[in-house]
Amino acid sequence: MRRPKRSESSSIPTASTGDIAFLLLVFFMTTTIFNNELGLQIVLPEKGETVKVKSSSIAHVYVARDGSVKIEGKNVPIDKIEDTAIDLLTKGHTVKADTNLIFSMKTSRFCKYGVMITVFDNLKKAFNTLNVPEKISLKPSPISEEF
Amino acid sequence: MEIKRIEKGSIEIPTASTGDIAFLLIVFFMVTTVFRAEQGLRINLPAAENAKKLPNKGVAHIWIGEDGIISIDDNIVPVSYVGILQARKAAENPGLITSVEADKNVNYGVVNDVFDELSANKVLRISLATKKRRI
Repeated sequence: MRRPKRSESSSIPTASTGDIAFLLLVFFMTTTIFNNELGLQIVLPEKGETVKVKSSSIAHVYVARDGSVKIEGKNVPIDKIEDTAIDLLTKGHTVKADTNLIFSMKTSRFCKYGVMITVFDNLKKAFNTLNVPEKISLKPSPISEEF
Repeated sequence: MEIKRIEKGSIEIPTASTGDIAFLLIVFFMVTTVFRAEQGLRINLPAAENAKKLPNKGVAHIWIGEDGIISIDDNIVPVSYVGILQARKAAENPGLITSVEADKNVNYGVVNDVFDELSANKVLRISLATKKRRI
């Protein structure tokens, strides 16, 4: 028996691939969410880990419940935090910053988180302006002590 | 004067490559697509100038709502669970960054307790989620 010879050229129709591709394109375009998450990076201290630091190399920052800020016992308005921090880091006159100074930040439990972020951001800005590594530590604020 | 006739050739835009272009775009969008894994809470983020961009991968979120509700993986969890849940995630991925997305009007006490929980469970790489403040 002989098979009839096929002479027709058999090809897969490709005219619609473009359409299919565009369909998929529209799907991915509509579902794509570009990642634009921002954040202030910080490394928390490990619990129980105690590092002895000279008290002279710590600058205490308190954020009270009404949002007022105290740096080293002195009331500082929000927009002056950066300048005050720079003054502390450079000791007022020297050009070179004191890279050993740590800012220890304590915030009242009843303070709004947004205020704390503003203060934190301003401290960070001071470090960035002087171009020294950030040393900001977040102190826990237990329920027992309220200020 | 004789005006030369413009030859009437068939004018066509070549369309043979549209499919290729489309596929190229598809590949781009497929690669950049990140499907949102969690819904999270409705949060009014605080603004900061020094915020840095987070990486696309290796970020775990904790949402803290205005009323102090904490949400992880779309479950409302008590504070005491936060540390264990995040420590489990950090164990799988050591370079994990925990992004704390807290509302700007929440009391700091709640956030403080979350930090306490995290540091007690050795989850130390934290990012405080913010919006970008235009200078």
